[in-house]
Amino acid sequence: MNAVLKETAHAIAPLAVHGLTHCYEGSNVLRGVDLALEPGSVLGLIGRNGAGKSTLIRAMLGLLEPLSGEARVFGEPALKLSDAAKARLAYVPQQPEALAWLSAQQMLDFVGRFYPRWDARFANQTLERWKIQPNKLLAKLSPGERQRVDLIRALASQPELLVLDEPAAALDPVARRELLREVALRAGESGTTVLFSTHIVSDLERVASEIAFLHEGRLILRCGVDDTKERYARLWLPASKSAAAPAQALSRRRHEDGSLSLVVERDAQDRWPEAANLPGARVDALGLEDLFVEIAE
Amino acid sequence: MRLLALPWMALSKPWRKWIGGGFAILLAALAIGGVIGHHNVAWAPHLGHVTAIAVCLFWAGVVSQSLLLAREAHHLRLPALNREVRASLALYALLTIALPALLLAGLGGHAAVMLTEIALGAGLGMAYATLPPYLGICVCFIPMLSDHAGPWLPMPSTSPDRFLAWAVPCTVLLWLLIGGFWRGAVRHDFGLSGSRKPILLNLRMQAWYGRNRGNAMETELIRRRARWMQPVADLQRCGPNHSMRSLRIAMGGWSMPQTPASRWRQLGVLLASMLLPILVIAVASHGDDVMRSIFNNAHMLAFGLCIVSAVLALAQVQTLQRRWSRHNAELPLLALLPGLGDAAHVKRELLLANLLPTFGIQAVLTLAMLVLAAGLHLGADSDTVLLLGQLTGISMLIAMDLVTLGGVQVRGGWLMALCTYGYLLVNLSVVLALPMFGDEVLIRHSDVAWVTAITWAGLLAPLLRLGVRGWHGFIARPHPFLPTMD
Amino acid sequence: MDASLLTIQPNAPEPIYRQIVEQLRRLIAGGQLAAGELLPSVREVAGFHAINPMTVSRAYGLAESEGLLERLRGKGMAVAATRRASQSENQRLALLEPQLLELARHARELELPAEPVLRRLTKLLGD
Repeated sequence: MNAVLKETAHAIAPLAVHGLTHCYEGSNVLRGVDLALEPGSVLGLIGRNGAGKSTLIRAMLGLLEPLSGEARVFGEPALKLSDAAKARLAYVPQQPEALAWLSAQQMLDFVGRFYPRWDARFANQTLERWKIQPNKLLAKLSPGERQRVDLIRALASQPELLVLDEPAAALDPVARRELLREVALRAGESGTTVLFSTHIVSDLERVASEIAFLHEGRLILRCGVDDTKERYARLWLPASKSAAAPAQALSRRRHEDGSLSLVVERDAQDRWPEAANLPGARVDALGLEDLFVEIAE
Repeated sequence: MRLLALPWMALSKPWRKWIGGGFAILLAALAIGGVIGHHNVAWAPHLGHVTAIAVCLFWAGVVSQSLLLAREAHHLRLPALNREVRASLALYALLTIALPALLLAGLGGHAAVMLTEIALGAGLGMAYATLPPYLGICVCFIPMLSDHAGPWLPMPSTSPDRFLAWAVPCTVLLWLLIGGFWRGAVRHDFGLSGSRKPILLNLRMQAWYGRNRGNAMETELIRRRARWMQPVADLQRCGPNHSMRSLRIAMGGWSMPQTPASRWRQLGVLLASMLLPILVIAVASHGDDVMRSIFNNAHMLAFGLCIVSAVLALAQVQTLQRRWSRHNAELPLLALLPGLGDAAHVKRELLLANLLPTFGIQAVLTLAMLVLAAGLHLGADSDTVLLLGQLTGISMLIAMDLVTLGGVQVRGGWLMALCTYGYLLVNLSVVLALPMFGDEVLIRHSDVAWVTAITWAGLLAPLLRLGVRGWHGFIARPHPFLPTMD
Repeated sequence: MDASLLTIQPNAPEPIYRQIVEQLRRLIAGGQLAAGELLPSVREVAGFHAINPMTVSRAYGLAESEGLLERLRGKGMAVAATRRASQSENQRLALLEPQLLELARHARELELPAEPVLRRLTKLLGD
């Protein structure tokens, strides 16, 4: 993690937090999170429900006062952002419910006046393409439609930093794919930095360049998506060889017959731990989903 | 015992405690009244009147809950439970209608009148809860009718026999109506749309939304309201150079800038609903000079003016509390919206955006109150009390706004108690300042004036304290768009 | 070539950029992509499959460094001209190596001797 922080220190990280802790009603939600995004990267924040993803995102953007630690957006303290920094940033909360008393068109008109690079044409075209009646009040739209309107709101401001909290939760598969396409292309072409949280791993595998895995308020893994798939694997050892298991493992699970499953990592020379070469041992490549199930259990 | 407990089962525990406690006090008061008044025959009709009101509240709040059980019983095919519900209703009818009527008759009342009056009360309570809202709401107007219809609708205290002549058929008809709608509500269930669903069931639907109930109810209201009733936001003159107006749009509620057409429509609805009571007064005064009868009913008007200001202020507070209670709506949008200026500027604009519209209306209302007071030729002390009543709402608004914006953690019950207290004081100001009992103005007694001053200080002191705490919290926040509960 | 010719399985253990390179290698070796044929742009592939354009760039870069593709100025990526449609037998066999390894592992796990497995394989290939 420190390596990442140092690496991005010279270019100003669009989003960075250090030593973030927060609690709700006495129980810790975040326990010391360090995270920084490089410009142009697409970071997928993954974790089980209740792992603290939304809280982390809100703390990163200065939408809550954390118990301790600091959050910066484009180098500015997140709780005291300047108008210039705000204009470069767009955030879509989970299940957005803002301005229910306006119609979709009114809401976009209203918000659009505040953003210097507002793309009204994009907003109108996307409303039409995503089949949302522009004159219907937001209160009368379904949760999925409201989420789409809010995504249009975020994208039309042409942000340099796009933060999406569970953007796909209320969307149907077709709309989800469209959103991912939009996010992927913006990241690739305009260099938009994207942070999105999800519990749907396949979304992440498509568009994310990096993943961060939040588990019980801690960031336990931060890696490039491709690296993760190549660096980690499941090592299975039969009961007779389980004593030879490597001490270093991300997770360790003993089965009923005494055999052992471990999540292991390649060493600096790209080799698996020695136990992998024992007779009867097996190394299985892991998709991200399997990896997370192994670790989160 | 089980039969008695049945309707209570449908209530949640805290509600059970509150309602149970409330009715225990009411019952005790009635019993005391009965003991004191048992030598005095003239007391019986008054006691009957109060009993009828109490029974009305009881049937509206508690017994009507059996409807929920009856529906469950019907859907789960539990005929035994269904029978129990019916038996429970019969038992409650015996205990709350027949028994008090007998007791009151023993105290010297007219048995048939008592029975009819209490049965009518229970029926009205039940009607409010279990009839469709458009009928149920009519029940709320009945007290006004009984105040003003005296001359042409015989009341039990004046002429018992003629009262029976109209009240008995009315009561029977009412109960038949309730029975019919009860059957309907039990049998077809999800098919009932919002406007036909009994208030009881609507409330039950809303109880599901949990913490964000206020917001969910507001959304539901917008969704149901007819298109022409919908306030239309006026987006002219908003944007980075008009931050206050923009904030008012972003906060919604009644003070949101609206297009002129929309504003006129809203005003029209308001005026129509205000004209109704005046019309009733005009009818009730037998076509006397309407202006004079309005001034004769000055306490109604003064009370109305005070209440409107308090209600507007509280509605504004509630809007703010709703906005500041959730973190997936207006708050993040506003917190990250560029062009609103630095934190100090936004804080000032936000506070003004929230206070100024109410201040404006308050000024108009105060002026109206002064005109009314001048028309009544009241003394300076009465004027002062009336003004105090007017300003109660605004002081509650300022204090509670600051509490919300400053993120001060106050227990909901405490705020609720304070609001109720304020509301009672508003009522009190009218009672004290106008000649309610004969020609006597209560505030002219010096002891009363003292007690009044202390009572008001009892409201203003905690409000001041809350306001100061809220102000400090507000100033200390890095930006104003942080949710209150976090 | 069309972007739809590629199949992407995001949840496979194999990284997406490797899936793309592997498929390009097979398509070229099998002669479905002729030398000099233009490849879809990074944007087209990324847009069609809703994947990160950087992943596609990375795959094209790797394929270029392996000599599968070459960059034509102003036109984008094309199948390398030096690449003949038909490669040597050894090269093509090398492409099958992962599947053969997998097959061998399964056979060992089922404790099958080489003889019947080879017989069956010969029959499958003969048909």
